[in-house]
Amino acid sequence: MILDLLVAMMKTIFSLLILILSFSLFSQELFSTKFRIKNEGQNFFKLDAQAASLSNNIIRNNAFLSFISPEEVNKDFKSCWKKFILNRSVKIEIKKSKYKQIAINNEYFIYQTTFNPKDVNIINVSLNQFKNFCKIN
Amino acid sequence: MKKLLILLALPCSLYAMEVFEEEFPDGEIQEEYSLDGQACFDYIDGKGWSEGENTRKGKSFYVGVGIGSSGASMQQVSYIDSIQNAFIRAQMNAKTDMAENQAKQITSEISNEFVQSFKEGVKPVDVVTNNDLEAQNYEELSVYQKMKLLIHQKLDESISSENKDKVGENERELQQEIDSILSQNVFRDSIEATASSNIRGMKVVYSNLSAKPNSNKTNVCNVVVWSENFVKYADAMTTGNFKVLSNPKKKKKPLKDQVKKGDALMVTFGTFMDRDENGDMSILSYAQSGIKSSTSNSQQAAIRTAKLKAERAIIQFRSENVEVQEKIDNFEITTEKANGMIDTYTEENIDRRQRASANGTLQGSKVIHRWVQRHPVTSRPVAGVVVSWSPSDANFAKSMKETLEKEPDASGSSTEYQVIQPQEYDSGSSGGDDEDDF
Repeated sequence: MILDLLVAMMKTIFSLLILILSFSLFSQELFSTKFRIKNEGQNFFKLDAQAASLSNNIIRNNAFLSFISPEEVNKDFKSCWKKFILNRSVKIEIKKSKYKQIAINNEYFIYQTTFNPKDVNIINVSLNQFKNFCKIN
Repeated sequence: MKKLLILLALPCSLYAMEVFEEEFPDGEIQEEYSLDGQACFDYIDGKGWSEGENTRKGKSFYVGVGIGSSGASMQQVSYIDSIQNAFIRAQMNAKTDMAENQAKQITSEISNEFVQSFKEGVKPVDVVTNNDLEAQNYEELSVYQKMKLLIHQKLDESISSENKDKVGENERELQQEIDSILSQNVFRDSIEATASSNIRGMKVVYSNLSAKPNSNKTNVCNVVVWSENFVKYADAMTTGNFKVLSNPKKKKKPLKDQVKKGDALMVTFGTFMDRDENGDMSILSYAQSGIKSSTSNSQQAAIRTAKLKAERAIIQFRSENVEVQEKIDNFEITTEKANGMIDTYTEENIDRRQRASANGTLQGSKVIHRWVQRHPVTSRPVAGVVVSWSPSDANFAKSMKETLEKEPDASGSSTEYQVIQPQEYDSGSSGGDDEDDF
């Protein structure tokens, strides 16, 4: 009887634990991509400046992710964004982005840029503006 | 059992560290290379921290890594100062990273312009637009216009034909070049990013120096930690509200005993914060400078330089405004010529600027340790100091200042002159000369 009770208790605790774990792991949507810089024997200052600039480039090219959910992401939106920002000034505010060196070899320095699209705010462009542009184009 | 299975399946489908990552080949990691700042990343891993926000026991704190590099050759006398500068840059990098982490503004401008100019046949004389609006003949000219004509004629006679031919040469060459172009496409991609912040209470918890003579490469890194508590401590240091810094229940060793020893001094830079024997939050600031020659003056100069940098680091800990500006400009110009040739010109300009400024009054700092050692990399002499700051020293300095600023008491002074009779005297003083202790 006591053993049955113990087993039932453990099952309940275990199932509750899994529920709690599932909520804590739920949807931390991060965008992460690697990029490389040619190893020309450049000094640290030049390398760091190149990495920072390329990281900003990646953020700009993927800022449209702040408008759409992960399920909606497809190549059409990406190519539409590239057309949208052509001949247009776009202002973006971002928090908690980072870039980090992850590997080096004879040919390249390899970096990784990570950011959460929810921390991206495109200041002078609205979701409707972008979606209407994509519909027309 | 069935219920348990369902619950197990649910979290797997919901599991979302939803990282949508683009495919990219890593390449091999070659053994002779190591990542810049690897020691600092290993330190963070060892602590179970991650870069950015961390949470422990319900409290959040920020962990950052600053990386710098020495630009000087190991053979140069200024190499040691270059390492100190590298640590200062690493600290600045850590702070600007934190500023960017809070908020970064990015402005993007892409433009693409295409121009085509097509010509065929011989250009006719334009009769309609080139009507002569001046006089029909010489007699109709005014005196002024006749004078102008005379001056022009005289000038033409005195200027050599060679010089006449040179006029407009560049313009003619340019026109020829333009005439040969059929079309041109100019693509420009410009991204500018800025971030700024006032950083208070960022302290160093680990610093590392990595020197590789084979590649003449010296990298430095430091691990910095920031939390709201540190901000309170930094603000308390500025405002003089030292009660915030005090916790008698958390007494530690005296500051002098907390100073690093031996070779550890070579790789310790920046401000470290910990409690002293009274339980007060105090600061130890490490700095060093190369000794340029074997003279005593040179040594003293190095110590003074190191002291100034250590004191400046304490001010920077209290409050520092940092700003970073990054810009990348890409140009691509494609020119198609009338003869069918296509030229492509590309240009990329990258600009990264960081600024940091701090100012303030420092009261109660003192040099707690001075040292001179041979540097482990170059064997050249290095001088360094450890400057401490504590609330008790600040209070003492404050009361000392107040006492000295008071006007001296004029009453009771005597101006009477007394004649003395000097006596013969011969004596000395010694201490610690017990031979049993030798």
